[in-house]
Amino acid sequence: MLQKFLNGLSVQKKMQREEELYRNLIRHEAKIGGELFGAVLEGGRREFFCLDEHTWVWHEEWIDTYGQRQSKTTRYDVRPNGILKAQDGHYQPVKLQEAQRLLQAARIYKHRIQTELYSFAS
Amino acid sequence: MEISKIIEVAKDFSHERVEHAAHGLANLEAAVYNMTVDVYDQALKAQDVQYNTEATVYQIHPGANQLEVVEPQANDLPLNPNIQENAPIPDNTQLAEIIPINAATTQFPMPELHAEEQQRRVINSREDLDRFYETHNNPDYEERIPA
Repeated sequence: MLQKFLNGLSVQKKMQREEELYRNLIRHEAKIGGELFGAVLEGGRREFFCLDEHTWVWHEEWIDTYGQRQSKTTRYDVRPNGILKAQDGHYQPVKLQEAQRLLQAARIYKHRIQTELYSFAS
Repeated sequence: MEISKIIEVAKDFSHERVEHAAHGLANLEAAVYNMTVDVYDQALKAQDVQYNTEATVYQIHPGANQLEVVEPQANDLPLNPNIQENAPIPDNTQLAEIIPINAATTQFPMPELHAEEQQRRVINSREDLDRFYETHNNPDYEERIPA
């Protein structure tokens, strides 16, 4: 009984560590993705990453004119005939120009994570 | 976990992440392709031009405000009238222009759609995403990134 309980704990811990590893990989991708758009203003931070096959995430932090830290997380949901942008719980369709920027960013992102982060696994 | 096991798991995850990015890019290319076709569809309809989408490629000359039929080329997309040289830096509601990067291309192969959505893990919801960023200021963050 005790052995079974300990085994269960061990499996749970292993899963937690694997999830943490996975999250850290995403964090590192996000950091690389944030470098694709040039310099960020002082005090700001930018991240960009592929969450899954249909979702891209862009996170931006900046200091506003009142010196307050602001942040915005934007999720791009890619569908066969268009892209939806979710910001603050509101959805809106992405216009072609922004979609093309997103595509351009995604191409470079894929290349960079493949060569800079995951080259050891190939 | 043993070191060898960690490396094995990291490799599995790495392959998975690269696949996600590759499929994510393919889906994005398909969506943008379809959006581009829609925009040109609308532009053509607005100008009352008869056309055959299967065999004909159209170009809009920037500034000329007219459509011109050109010889079809394999996988050739029409020029995008929205591409601007030296575009202004967008505000915080638009994804920033990438600087300097490759020149905007008008060509890319028609991608395959990967309809099978893989099970999302770790970040499954908006709440998970918020949590992802809440933990961002963890001072151990940099150290825990695998080499």
